[in-house]
Amino acid sequence: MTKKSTRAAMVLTALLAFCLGGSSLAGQSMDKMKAQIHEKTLKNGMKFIVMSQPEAPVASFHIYADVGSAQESYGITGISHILEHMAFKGTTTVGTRDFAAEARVLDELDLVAENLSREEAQISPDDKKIGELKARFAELQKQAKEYVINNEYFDLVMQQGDTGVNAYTSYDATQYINSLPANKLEFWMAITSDRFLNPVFREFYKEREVIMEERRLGLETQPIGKLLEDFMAVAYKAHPYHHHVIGHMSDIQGIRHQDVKDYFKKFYSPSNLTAAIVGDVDAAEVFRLAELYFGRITSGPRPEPIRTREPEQWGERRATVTAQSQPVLLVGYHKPDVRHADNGALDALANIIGQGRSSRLWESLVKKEKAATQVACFNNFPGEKYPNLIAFFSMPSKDKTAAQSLELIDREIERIKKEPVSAQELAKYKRMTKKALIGQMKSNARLAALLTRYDVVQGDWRLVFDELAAIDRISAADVQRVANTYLAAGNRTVGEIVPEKK
Amino acid sequence: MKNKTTAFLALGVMLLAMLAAPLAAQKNPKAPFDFPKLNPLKIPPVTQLTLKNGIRLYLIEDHRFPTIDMRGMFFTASAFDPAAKAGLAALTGTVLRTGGTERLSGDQIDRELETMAADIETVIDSESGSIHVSMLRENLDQVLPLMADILRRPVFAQEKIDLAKIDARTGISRRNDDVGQIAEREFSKLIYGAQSPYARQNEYATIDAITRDDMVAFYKSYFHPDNMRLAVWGDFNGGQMARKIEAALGDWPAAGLKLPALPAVDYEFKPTVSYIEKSDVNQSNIMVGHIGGLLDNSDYAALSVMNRILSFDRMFKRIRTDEGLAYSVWGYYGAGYRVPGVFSAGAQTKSGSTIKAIGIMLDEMKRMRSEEVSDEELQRAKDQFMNSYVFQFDSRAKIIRRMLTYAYYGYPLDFSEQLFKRIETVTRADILNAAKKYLRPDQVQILVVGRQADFDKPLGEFGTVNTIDIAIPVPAGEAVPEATPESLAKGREFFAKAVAAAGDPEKIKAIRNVRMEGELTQSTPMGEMTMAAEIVSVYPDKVLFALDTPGGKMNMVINGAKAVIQMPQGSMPLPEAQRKSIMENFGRDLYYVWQNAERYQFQALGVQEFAGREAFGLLVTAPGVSYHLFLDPQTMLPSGMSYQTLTQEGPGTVEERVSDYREVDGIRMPFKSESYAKDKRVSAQTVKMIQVNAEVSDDLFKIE
Repeated sequence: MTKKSTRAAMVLTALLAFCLGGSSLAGQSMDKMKAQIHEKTLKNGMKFIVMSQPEAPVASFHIYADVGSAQESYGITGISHILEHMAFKGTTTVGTRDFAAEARVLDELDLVAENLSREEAQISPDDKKIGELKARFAELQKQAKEYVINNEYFDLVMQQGDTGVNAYTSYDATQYINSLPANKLEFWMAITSDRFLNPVFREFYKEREVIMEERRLGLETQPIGKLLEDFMAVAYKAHPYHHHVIGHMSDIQGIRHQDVKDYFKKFYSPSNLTAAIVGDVDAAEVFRLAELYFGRITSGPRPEPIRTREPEQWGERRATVTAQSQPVLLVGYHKPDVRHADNGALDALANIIGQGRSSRLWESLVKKEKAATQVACFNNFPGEKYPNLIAFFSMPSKDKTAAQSLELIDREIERIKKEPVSAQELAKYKRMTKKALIGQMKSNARLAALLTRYDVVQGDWRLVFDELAAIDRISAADVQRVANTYLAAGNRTVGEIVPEKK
Repeated sequence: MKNKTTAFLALGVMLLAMLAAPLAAQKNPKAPFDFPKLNPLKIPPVTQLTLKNGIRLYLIEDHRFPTIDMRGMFFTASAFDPAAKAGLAALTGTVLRTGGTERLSGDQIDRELETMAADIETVIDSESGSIHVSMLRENLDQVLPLMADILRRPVFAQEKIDLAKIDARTGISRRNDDVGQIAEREFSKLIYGAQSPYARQNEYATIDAITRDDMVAFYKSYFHPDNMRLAVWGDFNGGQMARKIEAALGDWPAAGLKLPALPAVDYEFKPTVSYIEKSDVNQSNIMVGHIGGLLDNSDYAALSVMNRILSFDRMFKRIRTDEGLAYSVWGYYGAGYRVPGVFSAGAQTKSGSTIKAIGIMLDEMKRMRSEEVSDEELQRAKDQFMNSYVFQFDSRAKIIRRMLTYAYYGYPLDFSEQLFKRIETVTRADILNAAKKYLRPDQVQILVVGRQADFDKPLGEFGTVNTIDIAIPVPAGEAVPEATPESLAKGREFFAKAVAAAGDPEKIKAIRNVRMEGELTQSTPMGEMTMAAEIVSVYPDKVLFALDTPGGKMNMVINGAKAVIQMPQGSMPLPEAQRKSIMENFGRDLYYVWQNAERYQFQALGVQEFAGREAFGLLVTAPGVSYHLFLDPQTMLPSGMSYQTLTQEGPGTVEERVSDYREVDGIRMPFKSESYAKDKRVSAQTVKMIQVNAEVSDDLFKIE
């Protein structure tokens, strides 16, 4: 009986998959889009991906630097993000009134800063010397400021109509984005290549303070921020996903200007950069200008891959944050990176168990048991390039506890291990994913981001368009198998915000 | 050797650069560019039509992707919530969608929609009600009837109302978790008024008061076709789509609505300084500002140019870049469509630079209105508007949604084009005039959420500091039987007996102050701590606690609305929550209540159990006060009381037990008292000596 119904379900799945595969969804629009994309790798190793979208005379520009906080080691945690900030501080021409004179002051400033931190680290520091160095430091900062044209980079790009200038640093990558009227293509080439060719990390010491404020804002004053930091530190004992992207306060405070310059040299060579431009541009013109502007940058070696791998876990781990907050639960299970063959089935599992109002966890925790007002499961947390986590998140309802949420989540995990998911659930997942993917493709900026990410992490931007076919191949048996492989108690970390008792 | 190599390499690079130079035609990013002409937009115009029942349709086709989106708007607003039912509109907006329809339950709709990868969401916010629908093209014929059902035949299932209320109550319980949320909410209350429909918050009591009937009535007042505008964009044929919408919504009868006006905002400019204690953060969340204005103000073009300059060229460049004081910082004159926006400047900075950051914000506001902006600043701002203008039209979704918004608020559909033309003509003098007219740096309201013990200077620099208590009002306790004339008469009689049991009622009426010496035991995370204490209570609103703590002498002085802690190291304001809770003790004090008995109501509750023994229970209430008083049946003296308050574990019930009555000046007074929360002793007081109507100098309660 059981066997028969399983077979019936499988037949139905196959049928549904067939129907969907043949639907208008994937079909021509994907192929048509793929054909609009061209790529070129410059001699120095920098890659450009271009997609013409003539809908409106605008374009989005995306540069993906293959360096994130996972590349950082002790002492320089947070440096990828510091560099992201410093990359907007200008160049030998942008942001300065007289670079030659400014450079002399900046060099002395570094020297004084170095002497100051050495003196402060002495067992018995010389207060008089420290006082003198501090005074000199303040004086030099004042001098340096005289040469600076405050935020000239931002002024220049915004003046040209940039509505999306920004940058992000994650565990995996540092990404720079602009959105400009399409006729500003050459301007973008000029100002952006200059940032990679002639960067000057001016105002470094002030910017460290800004970043310390950013850490306070996003992490230290946020109970959930605190939980994320501690949770990852417990879930990862060896691999650098261990530390938060923002870095430890003492590292932010202690990182030197020279550290940033070295880091830039190591990780921002053209071979480590991938650009995508989507909008009303002509690919041939983009490649000509890319060669002219970015082709000037000297090639460097690709950085070594990360050596450290997260070893096998020896038992369940716990992270607890006490805060003036209501409870929050976060649970994560180790699983392989995004390229692993099981990742697709884990995506499906995350969706079926915990994405949307008809997902299993929502129906159980929110609707039926009223134990939580929000619950979700997400795959590839906190990054995708290295082995990562499939994570579960719950916000318990008033007067309910994190422990109750955990118990209910565990119940659903046991169920998904024991019984295959239904054909209807699988079909729902496939449709939702397809629609989400189409949604991303509607925006120039998001599509540019998607193309670079797939190209760097998955190895080929074309896989964006093959994703739909890959999803169609996932079966209920795959989902059940990965549930049993990865969702084991000894492979997990449980994190919790415990309300502070005053 | 190594140096030589480097030198050689350097030379090589130089030579290469020299060779390459003549070939290269690269431009310096600061050089003038000869920009090619922009290609024209290929986006067709929006089709507009009106159905017979009054639904106004806006359609635009987009065949690049196989999806269809819709957004419908209804004139309604949470501003129409009755004050005692704050949260009604928002709950109605939620349950409209989750509560199901005559045909399908909410859960069935969830499953049907997600199976098709479609979404339907409804929401009612402070100024509008809306429905958003998104689907794959092929599901139009299933999704459209679902949408029509949700709008026309919702059933507001009680089960989903209960669920939405759990969500709302959870939201209330979590509203003080996030500093940014606290700052925004409380600042908005400062600007619009705490009870204003644009700022007030839901409370447990207002959520509890909302019924299904209220929600159905709210829905029926606003959800009608002649109050609906619907925008549709995506992969469809316009004519066909209009017919399908007609089929789904065309027979929905018009109601001939008369729509109410939104409540007006009445703002009085005044300088204020407010503080909210958040002891577990190391950064202050600062907001400074006053009321803003409306978008259709003829000065708005000048103000929007001013916004870019004030926010970026002034606040960001100075506070963030030059001073390194904050990550996020702004200064912005907000304008609304129908309801005035808020002008605010803000930043989050480490506790130790709070006052400095506020000072700079105020300086920059003042500078904005004391001198003209520079030519460069004006040019950059205008260039930014001109060059980014094309982004207002770069997607069909953006175009049609903006049109819908303008139509909804009764603005010209080409409002952004008009604004753009006006921005082109803005001059330096226009900006200065607008700044002078609309910025009032000497009449700003300042709010800081943070830990004032670490501030660089006292916040009082900017004016008298009002401490805001953000403790969440405790949900109503257990139900008590309804009061009857008999139970009230009996309650008052019992209370009079309790007073008479203590002493001569006239003498008790004449008590002006009570001074006690003894020991106070307080439970702390490290265990119980006992210290010598002197407590002087002067009726009706002064208290002094003089404590011998292990850290030295400490005085807590409460004098009406002011309260301070004095220590050898200096003094600091007493947190508002503590001041309030000490003041509330007066409202429950036997002598005070007797002196003000006409303001109180006493309800006899019969024989109840208190501290393991039988007692006569009374419910004693007055405006802002409510507690249970328990009387010993033998002596009629109080054996204790219980009340709702903020305990160390959040809102809860505290039980205060008193014993060891001794006579002082002819009045029987308890010499021992203990407080319990959840059966755990939290504090105790053992009295050695009591003095009534002692000589008490007013100087004791002087607070500067």
